[in-house]
Amino acid sequence: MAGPLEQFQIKSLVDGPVDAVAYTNSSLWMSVTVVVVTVFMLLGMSKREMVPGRWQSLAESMYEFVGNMIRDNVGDEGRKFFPFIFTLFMFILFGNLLGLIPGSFTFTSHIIVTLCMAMFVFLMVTLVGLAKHGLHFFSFFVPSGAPVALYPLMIPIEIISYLSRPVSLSVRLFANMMAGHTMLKVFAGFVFGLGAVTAGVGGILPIAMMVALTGFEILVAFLQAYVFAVLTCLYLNDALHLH
Amino acid sequence: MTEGDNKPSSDDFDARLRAARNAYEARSGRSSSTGDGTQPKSGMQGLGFALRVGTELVAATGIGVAIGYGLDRWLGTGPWLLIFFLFLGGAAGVTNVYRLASGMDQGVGWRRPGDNTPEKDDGRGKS
Repeated sequence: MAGPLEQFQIKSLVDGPVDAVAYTNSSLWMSVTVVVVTVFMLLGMSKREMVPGRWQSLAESMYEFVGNMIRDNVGDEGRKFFPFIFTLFMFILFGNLLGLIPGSFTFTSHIIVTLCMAMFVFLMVTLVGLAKHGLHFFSFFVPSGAPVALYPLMIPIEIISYLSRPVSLSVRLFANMMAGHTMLKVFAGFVFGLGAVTAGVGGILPIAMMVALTGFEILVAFLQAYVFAVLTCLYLNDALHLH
Repeated sequence: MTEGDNKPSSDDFDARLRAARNAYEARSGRSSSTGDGTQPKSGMQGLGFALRVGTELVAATGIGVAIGYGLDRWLGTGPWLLIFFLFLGGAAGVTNVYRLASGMDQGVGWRRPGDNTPEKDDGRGKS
């Protein structure tokens, strides 16, 4: 029986020219996610009915959800970041959800993937802030209302606090996905263990637990995609509207 | 809530819109704001909040240690910068947690732009 952590193993499907480059199961599921999101949106948007059908309503509610999130958290200037945040949200959401299909691979459970996305967000937000405010952007790190004597202490703290953003952003997503999937696998192991001892009867309890956990994981999949997107919005807001 | 209207981007209007929306949400009973984050949370929400606090603390401390270690390697100044930045990172972590708990949510600087930004409900659930 596979151990609880074996599901996170990266396997090379197509070897690249060098060892470090390969098309892995992680890449495969990223591609699947992109295709599924594209098909989902294309199918939803192709008919453009006045009264939306099921697909169109789903696609529209996704659009509105992200649109409202940006408007509430960033404001009008955030509108031009809609494509970016929408893509990010859909990619993470569908990655999380597709990862829940038995036998699939959850690429968001790898910190390299989430850290890469978080670093991209972080760099983009910083560059946006720099482009909008120029060197005035660095006044961001000067705490307002603090005595000048404390500046040498407070400014490094603010900078570290700023730099810790991508780390906490990525760790949150990765840890949640990895913990959830490990938990599911551990409980799945209990099914065999308890079932073998008690002639199959004891397996019912862990199965019931797994059903509950799967529901919970779907919630987490939504929530984490939402948190990632909403924090991106907040960071954008910070960069666009310096205090 | 109407969609796709080209509202004027004045802060005043935003503030009024928020007030109206909050009033609407309070009336319709589906409040999407967690309040100031200091209200008691229960069950999964509390766990999510705790997990998030832990992440913030560890992330900031880790960044501090990384900076200190890097500077030490670069400047060859023994363990001193590492120790210094360890504490600085810890302080940054506590700052982050303080901001999270007081509802300012990681905003750098002590004031949020637009004094009454609605609170985000990202501290909820298993975050």
